[in-house]
Amino acid sequence: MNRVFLIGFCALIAAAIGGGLWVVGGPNHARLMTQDADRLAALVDWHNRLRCLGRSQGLPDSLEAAETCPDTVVFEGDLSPFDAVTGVPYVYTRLGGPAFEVCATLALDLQETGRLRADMEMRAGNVVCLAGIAAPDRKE
Amino acid sequence: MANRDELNLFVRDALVTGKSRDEIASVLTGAGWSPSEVNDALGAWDETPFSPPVPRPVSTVSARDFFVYALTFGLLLIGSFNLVLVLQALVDLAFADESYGETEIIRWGVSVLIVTAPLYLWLTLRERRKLAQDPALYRSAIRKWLTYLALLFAAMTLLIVLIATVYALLTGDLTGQFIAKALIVVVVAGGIFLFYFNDIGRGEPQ
Repeated sequence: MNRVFLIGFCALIAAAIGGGLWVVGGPNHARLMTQDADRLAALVDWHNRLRCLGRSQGLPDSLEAAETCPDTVVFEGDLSPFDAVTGVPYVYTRLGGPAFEVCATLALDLQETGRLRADMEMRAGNVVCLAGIAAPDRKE
Repeated sequence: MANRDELNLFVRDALVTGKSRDEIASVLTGAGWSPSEVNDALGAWDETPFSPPVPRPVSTVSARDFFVYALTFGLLLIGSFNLVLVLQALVDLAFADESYGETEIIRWGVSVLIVTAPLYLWLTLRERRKLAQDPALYRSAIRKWLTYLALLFAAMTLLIVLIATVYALLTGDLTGQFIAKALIVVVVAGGIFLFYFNDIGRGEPQ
């Protein structure tokens, strides 16, 4: 009887390990996921800096020309305009007026993963963009 | 005030001199020993008419038993907890979009299972082989304690799941996702309970 239980538990554990690895992917997938998380964090940091710069001294012409915003209240760390893994620059586009967007190319399609912020847009080629408007915050 | 050792020594001496069990029980009860103490003291000796009296086997405690059984029990506890976590996270993913929390839970749980499951299996099978070779090992007090501890944890878990299910029913939250997650706990905890429950009577004198 106990032999049956042991075999059953082994099968259950094997199913949990196999199913778990199948769902979350192997080490390479996890590495790519971490790299994408870093890219998304960089996009958010750039988004915050550009909004801050836009409000205080106008939007910069390029990310390389964007200095640290003097009014920023968020610690941004060492914010690079280049992707840390591929070395490709993040794509910064001025959309006219105070509007802008900043984009990065991800290694994975994160559309259905729940990892994207609601205001992030996933486009073809695993390109994710975050748009913003550098207008002054509305006062209540 | 005499202690248990002196009581056992007295019972042994009385049996050696040919006193009947009823006589011994009567004189001990008269001296103030409780019936359970008298029964325990007399039960330590077999009723086979032989002199000197034949001692019955007693529970043993050893550091080796503590190491092996406590390690096995710890692995069972950690492994089964993480098995439930992984399976429940898989259920969550089946019912909802992937989230960072669930994938990290699965990764951690799978890591724990990869280490603990083979080790638990190896220790359990090794112990069972030893028990089959030497049934005296069934008398390990630590083995008995940890077996009952596993039963207690499994029974408590089953009770909590039952309470949570009734609560979910009353609050209208008895969804397919909840039922699937509760079933996982029932299968794991129920399996552990039955596995160890089957073990209780083994090695006991008939």
